[in-house]
Order: sequence, then structure tokens, then C-alpha cells
Amino acid sequence: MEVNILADGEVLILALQGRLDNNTSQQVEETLMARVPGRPALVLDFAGLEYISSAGLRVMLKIAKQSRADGGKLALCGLAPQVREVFDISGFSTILSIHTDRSAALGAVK
Amino acid sequence: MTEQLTGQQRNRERSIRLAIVMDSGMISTYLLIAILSGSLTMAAEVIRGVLLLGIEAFALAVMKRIHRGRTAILEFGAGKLEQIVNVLIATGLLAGALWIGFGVVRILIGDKDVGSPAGFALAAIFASTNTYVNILAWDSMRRAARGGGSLIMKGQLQARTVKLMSSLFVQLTLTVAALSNDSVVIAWADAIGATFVCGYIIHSAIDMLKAGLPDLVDRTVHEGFQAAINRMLAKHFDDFERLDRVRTRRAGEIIYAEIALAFRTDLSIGEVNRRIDAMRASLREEIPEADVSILATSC
Repeated sequence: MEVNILADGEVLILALQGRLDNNTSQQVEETLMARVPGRPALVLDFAGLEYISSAGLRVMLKIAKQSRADGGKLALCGLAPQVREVFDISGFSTILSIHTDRSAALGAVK
Repeated sequence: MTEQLTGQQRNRERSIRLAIVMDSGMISTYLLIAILSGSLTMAAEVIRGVLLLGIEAFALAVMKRIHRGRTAILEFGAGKLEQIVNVLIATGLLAGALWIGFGVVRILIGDKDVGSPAGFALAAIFASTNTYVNILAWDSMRRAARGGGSLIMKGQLQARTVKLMSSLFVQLTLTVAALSNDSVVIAWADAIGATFVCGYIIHSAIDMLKAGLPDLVDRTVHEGFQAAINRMLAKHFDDFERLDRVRTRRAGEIIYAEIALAFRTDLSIGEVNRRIDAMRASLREEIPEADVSILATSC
């Protein structure tokens, strides 16, 4: 599991690659939560994400809560069909802002 | 103090008691025939039978304690105890299979004498009685376990099914051995019968270990339940401020979930309780057997 960290102006872009499951979720949570607090805008790019488990979804929920507490904006993008399905089944699609690609997500948080 | 048992509890205890009585009679007879015939298959049946008998007795003792509420020190229920019994059954079955396997190798390399045709004939006659008894015992157990329920009953039913299937095949191999005058045919029939019993036992034991061990070491509960928790968290997303952790484990039929959430400090205790109750109800709608603890902190 790899997390690439980029910036576009004030927007922090976190691009995830690999599998976000029970084995990797704790490490990803620590990586993301160390960078998210205080950020006004955040984009999570899932184009390289092959799989996300329920534990991985909860990491997303924690980030969404942190972002909201900071008064920031959060957008997700690039979800593969199998990843999107997990978000839909769990109801997370209704609480998170999901976009097709990075430019659309950047447009939503800027 | 009078002990009040439900009809289903009495039925379950009676079915295991009946199985123990019938098994004791059959095993004693089998032991005698195994000695007289020199059949490895029969010897394997005796070993397996003694093993199952011991486990049945232990299972009955544990079940009686559970039914009479004598497990007060087990504050999270007797689920783990049931899993231990299941794992013990599986471990015992594997040990028995190993012993049978060694015997088969010894027959095939000629290190062990084959039994006598007359002995096999006697064995085949008694095996048919055993097959009939196994059908009756299996049917009784199946009916008792039909109401859902405990791992002990499921373990017992699985063990009974193994026993019935094995006895049918053993019946066939013993009959072939009894009807043959060729020592090679007798040796192979005995070896095949014993190998079949061995294979069936291993398969069943692995299934039982797979079912019991993960829960015994408190492995995270399956993804379906995790998804239900996530749906609840998504549904009540605006009701809490922070998700601190989610922990799940299973003990018997009950799934335990511990969800730690932080709530706004300006909420009253009553309001926090109302929200927690709503979350718990949402989760129980999907998973009725869940025992959900929601730990609240303020932030």
C-alpha cells in the first residue's frame, strides 16, 4: 500500500495505490491523519486503489470527520467500479463527495 | 432449587445421552470383533469411537452446565467454551486419523498381517447393526439441532454425519473382505476402508478447526458484519463528532462489537443516550444476534 502526497495550491492531494484492507488500514490511517488536520482542502485520489475493505472505509470516515471539524473540504476521485461498489453498499457514497477524476475533485474543493 | 429446562434443552441433552449409551454398546462389541478379526478398519473404528465417546461425554457435561446456568464466571457467555469443545473434537479426530494412516501404510508394505475371512464376516455382520444404529442416532441429532443454536450441537451433528458416512463405507469394505479368499483383496479392502475413514475424518476435522479457531483467537468478525457497522455509521454520520475505534469478535452465536465515538460536549447525557440507542437499533435491525457496545466520549 502506497500513499503519494502532492499539493495543488492549498489543496492536499493524497493518491492511494494498492489494497486498503485490515492489514494496511492502520498504517494508512497514521499516514493520512498526520497530514490532514488543519488542511482547508483535501482530495483523495483512488485511481490506483484496487480494493478497500470495511476497515479501510472507516479510515475514510475518520478523515471526513477530521476535515469537517477543521472546516475544510474533502473530495474523492478515481474510484474503480469494485471500490465504488463498496462505497455504495456501505452508504458512504451519500456522505462523501465522490468525483470521476482528479480535476473534477479539485474543482469541487477549490 | 428446581432446575427449569426448556423442551429444546431437554431434547438436546437427551439426544447426546442416547448417543453415548448406544456408542458405548457398539464400541465394546467392536473392540471384541477387532481383536478377533485383526481388521485395521475395525481397530480404527474403535479408536475413533472411543475418542468420540469421550468428547460426547465432555460435550454433555458442558451443555448441562450451560443449560443450568452454572457458567456465572463466564460473563461473556459460554460461546468460547463451545468453541474449545469443537476444537478439541477436531484435534482428537486428526490424531485418530494419523493413527489410522500409519496402520494403512503398515498393511500396504506387508508389515502387518491381514485379518481372517471369518473375522471379517463377523465384523461385517456387526457393522450392519452399527450402520443402522448410526442412522437412528444421526436422525435424532439432526432433529434436535434443527432449531438453530449452539456450536456444541452443530459439532455433535457434524461428528455424527462423519460417523454415519464412514460406517456405510466401512460396511462395504468389510463385506468385500469377508467374501474374499484372496489375501491381497482382503488387505486392499481393509486398507481402502481405513483410508476412507481417515480421509473423511481429516476433512471434517479441518472444517471444524476452520470454524472454531478464528473465533477462539478473537479474529475480526467477517466483512458482512463490518459492512453493517459501516452502514450504521454512515446513516448516523451527523450524530457523532469522531470515530475512535471499532472492535469486533465472535463467541458462539453472538457477535460482539465495541464502537468508540466522540460526541459534542454541549450535548446532554440524555441526547447522547438517545443517539446511541438509535445507532444500536440500526445495527440490530441488520444483525439481531449482535451485542453492541457504544462507548461515548466528549470532544
